Amino acid sequence: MATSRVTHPEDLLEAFALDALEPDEEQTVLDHIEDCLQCAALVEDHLLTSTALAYSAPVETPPERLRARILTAAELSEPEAPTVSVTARRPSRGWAGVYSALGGRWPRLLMPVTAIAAVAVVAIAIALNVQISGQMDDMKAENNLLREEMDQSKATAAAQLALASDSVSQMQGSLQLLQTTLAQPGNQSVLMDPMQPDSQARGVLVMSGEGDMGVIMASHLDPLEAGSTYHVWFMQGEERMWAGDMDVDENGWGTLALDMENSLSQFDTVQLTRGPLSLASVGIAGDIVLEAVLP
Amino acid sequence: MDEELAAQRPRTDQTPAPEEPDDQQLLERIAAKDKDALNTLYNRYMTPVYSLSLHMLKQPPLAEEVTQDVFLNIWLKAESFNASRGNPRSWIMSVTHHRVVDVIRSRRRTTTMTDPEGYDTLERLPSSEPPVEAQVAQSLDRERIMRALATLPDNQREVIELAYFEGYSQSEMAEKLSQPLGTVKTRVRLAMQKLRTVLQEDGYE
Repeated sequence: MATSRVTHPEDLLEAFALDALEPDEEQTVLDHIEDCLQCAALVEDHLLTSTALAYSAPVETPPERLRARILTAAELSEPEAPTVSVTARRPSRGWAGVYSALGGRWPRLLMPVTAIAAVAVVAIAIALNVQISGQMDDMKAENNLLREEMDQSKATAAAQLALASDSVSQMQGSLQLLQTTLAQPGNQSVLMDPMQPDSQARGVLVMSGEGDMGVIMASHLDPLEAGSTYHVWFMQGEERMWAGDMDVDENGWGTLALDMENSLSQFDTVQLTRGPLSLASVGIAGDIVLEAVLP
Repeated sequence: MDEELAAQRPRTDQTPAPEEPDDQQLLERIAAKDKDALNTLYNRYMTPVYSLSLHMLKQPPLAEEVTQDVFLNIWLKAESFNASRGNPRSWIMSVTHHRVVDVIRSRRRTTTMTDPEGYDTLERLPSSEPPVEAQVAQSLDRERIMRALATLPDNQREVIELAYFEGYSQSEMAEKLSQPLGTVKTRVRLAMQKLRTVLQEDGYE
């Protein structure tokens, strides 16, 4: 009779509790503790220690409005409602469950509202070929204002999007704000061309003069299959930086708001690719759908 | 003196009063979509979740976003909590830490945070003050844990701080510290084992 010797990843368990493993190591532990109660107990023991570390952070209290945001969003959310992304950077922890719903979407700071607002902006910018113009005295200040307002409505809007088909009309105020933000001198727009000859997909990247903020908007995108998404990447030479995932509605419209610490102008090209959700976690792109050379 | 003090105070602000449901019961009610239970759990954990997030991320808007993510996902996924695999407090705080590390590493790919202290100049919004006893309890816990950290050799404390509070992986630490990966791994293991021992001896649960 064949026998097998189980290898316990004991040398990884402390670092696992600190979230200090590489993705492949973490997956090794996750797979192992699904079946090994001994190591699962050790992990739990180490998590008690790491939890203690959490309590060494200086005591801070969140603003009261955060409670209202959370409770409102919870009330409007269904268990599977798309209020959170499922694009985890790292594998989910089976025993902890909620990890799978926690990762990935961070760069999409303005997603729910701008998903509607920017689509309308695309319609204006592309279909009507409108030249955006206006005055900008302090773009960051205005964007902070916009982010604050959108943040307030984000939780509510996310649930409403899942329930209502006429959300566009509800977001006219946000659209006007976004238009004002984008309509600034010095902004640059870059058309993104399809890489497949028969593709109808089109896109545009509008970025601030300083290159630290922008919006990518695309149309005629093919519907996504389960487990796949559109990734946005910026390339500098051989280096590839994942900028976020783009949600696409049933009409093939998609948008992604960008809020960067460094200027986009340092990059050579921008790409929209289509591939499995997990590809971004390892910096691998899928099929290139749209691409543009940055100025 | 410490024992007397410990007996006079709640262990943490998460310790429910006798008539209140415990965390496990709250999670069961949340799984049944009881919003009052979510509110109660929020009262219990808003401070540690937000404190850890803000301490690591330095930016209140990001800390709020993570806090919202954590509680919304507890609302959506409470049924996935397995009580046989740990206690709710560890679960909530490890989920929080995992999410914060995701954010840190995502941002690290796009920016070099050379001056994280600069973010502290951001305006702080009015906050909801937790009960005084909760603040005192968490402050006492903090002192206790800081004492435990102080017992570590410098090079072990360094890797704990880099890993847990700055989101570095062991490989990244090895590069940052110009040390062999094996050395870093050994320091991490020894540090965690020492912390565990010290905290247990100190009666920390």
